[in-house]
Amino acid sequence: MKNYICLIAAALTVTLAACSNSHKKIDDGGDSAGGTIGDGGTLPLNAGVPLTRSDLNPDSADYSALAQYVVYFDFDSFTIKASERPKLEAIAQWLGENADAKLVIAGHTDSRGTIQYNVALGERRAIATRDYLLGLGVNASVLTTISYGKERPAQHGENEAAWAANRRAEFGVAR
Amino acid sequence: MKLLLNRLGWLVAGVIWSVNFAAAQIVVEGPGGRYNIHATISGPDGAKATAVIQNDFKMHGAFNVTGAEVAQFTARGTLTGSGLTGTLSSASGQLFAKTFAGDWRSATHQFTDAIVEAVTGLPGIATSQVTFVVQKTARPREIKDLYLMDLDGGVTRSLTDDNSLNLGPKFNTSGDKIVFTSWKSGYPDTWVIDLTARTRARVAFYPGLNSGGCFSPDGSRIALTLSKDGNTELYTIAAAGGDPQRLTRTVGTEATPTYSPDGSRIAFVSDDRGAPQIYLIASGGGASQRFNTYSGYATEPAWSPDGKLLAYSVRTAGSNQIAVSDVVTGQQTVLTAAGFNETPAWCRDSRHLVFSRGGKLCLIDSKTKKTVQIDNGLANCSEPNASR
Repeated sequence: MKNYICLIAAALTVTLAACSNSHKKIDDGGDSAGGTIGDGGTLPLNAGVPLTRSDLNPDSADYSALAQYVVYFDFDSFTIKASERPKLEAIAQWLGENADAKLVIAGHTDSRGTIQYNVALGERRAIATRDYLLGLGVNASVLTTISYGKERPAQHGENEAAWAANRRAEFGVAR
Repeated sequence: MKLLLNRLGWLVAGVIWSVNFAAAQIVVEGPGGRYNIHATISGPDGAKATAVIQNDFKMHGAFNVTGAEVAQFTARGTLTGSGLTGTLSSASGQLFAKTFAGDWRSATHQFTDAIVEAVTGLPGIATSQVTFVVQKTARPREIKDLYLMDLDGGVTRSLTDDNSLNLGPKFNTSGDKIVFTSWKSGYPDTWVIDLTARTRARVAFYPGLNSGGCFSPDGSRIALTLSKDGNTELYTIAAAGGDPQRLTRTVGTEATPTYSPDGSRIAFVSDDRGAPQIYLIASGGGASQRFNTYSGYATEPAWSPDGKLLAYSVRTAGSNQIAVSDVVTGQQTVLTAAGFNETPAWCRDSRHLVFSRGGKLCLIDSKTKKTVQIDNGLANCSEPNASR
């Protein structure tokens, strides 16, 4: 019975996180001046948790072990899509089974935006991915975020397939 | 005594009158708002120096390099070994005779800038330094390093050799420091190079992102993006590191701050309300105000040294163009028409911009839209930033 309640609680957390993470970005076309920031929506659950930085160098992390769980994003978006949630549930489960493991979450963008904005957007994707995992009960201390912007594409080329492959968050197992 | 004062008065007025005459040229700009100039330099290295000064004027956008017969201005220089003696003349006579110290190339650029200032009233830009990024390898791992060069592409030298990513170099106002983002530690940290002391220091290495830094005009602060508190937000820190002050609090992404020259405001990018747009905020924080770019996707704001203009890039069908807006009236001019144009940065005259296009560095005259590619002999260049 106790386990059952825990399961319900976990499911509820996931649902809440899922709803609030689908923060809808509205492009108003840029034809109006004025307006301010900070009204882009409510912060997702688990957002605003201070980041941690592992002592391990992310360059030495192994990105191949969890390659099947790479999370993909829409253009200029950091929303965790419904199609990507099972991958994050699998990552949370993997972390539960590998208690000593630490992950680097590396955010990337496609080549179409500008350099510095993409560096920030890549970090935002890594953070959105981290926040979703926190919602699944993962301990913040085992997750480190990093962004490479558009500097480390998974696929070279200027086409839809390459762009889609490059808008991603990858999981590196720190070692 | 009264007569003497009157005479002194006439004398002073006469001097002022002649100075004014020399400074304000009564010369009509040629086609496309350009002046015809004939420029030659003699002496040792004279041929090379003549090529350099003619190239300076070809790059500038306000000049046509012509033969002596059609020139509105004639510039003659003589290299002396320790510098250059130069004169500038127009139909009304000699405008100046000056000496410039330094090696032949440096003295030639100084001569160019003196001529540009005398003719246009704006500071010359030929003595500007440009810091920029070169991608050395793309596979298996991207390596990018910082470089420094003269505006015309001469005297290129390497600033970093790190086997890592280095991005976004930006000069301080006095031109002796460069702030940039480096992944040297493995993580994106903010570093400062001191060009005089030939040292570098890591000034921001909080958990997460430390990127997009720029100096405040007085050099005391660095505005940048940090994510340490759980989201990508705009902050300022002390220039030597520490004392982080948070300016924004949003769901979205904040990036690429640029200070107004009086230090009171910061323009930056936020995608909090959708696609990235440019906003203005007081440099101490407060409410932000959207700046109209007439575009659904605008990034990389750069505030002109005279405070009047914002340059930025706008996304157009599959590409990216450089635009400039008057900060007060909002009136916009799109400067480029083709190619993926990125990272506009102002030169000290608030008229020219450097930017990158497809791995090449370019200089554009925002008044005439004349664009030239800067030939520095290097491939895969990006993110140019010019000293003031």
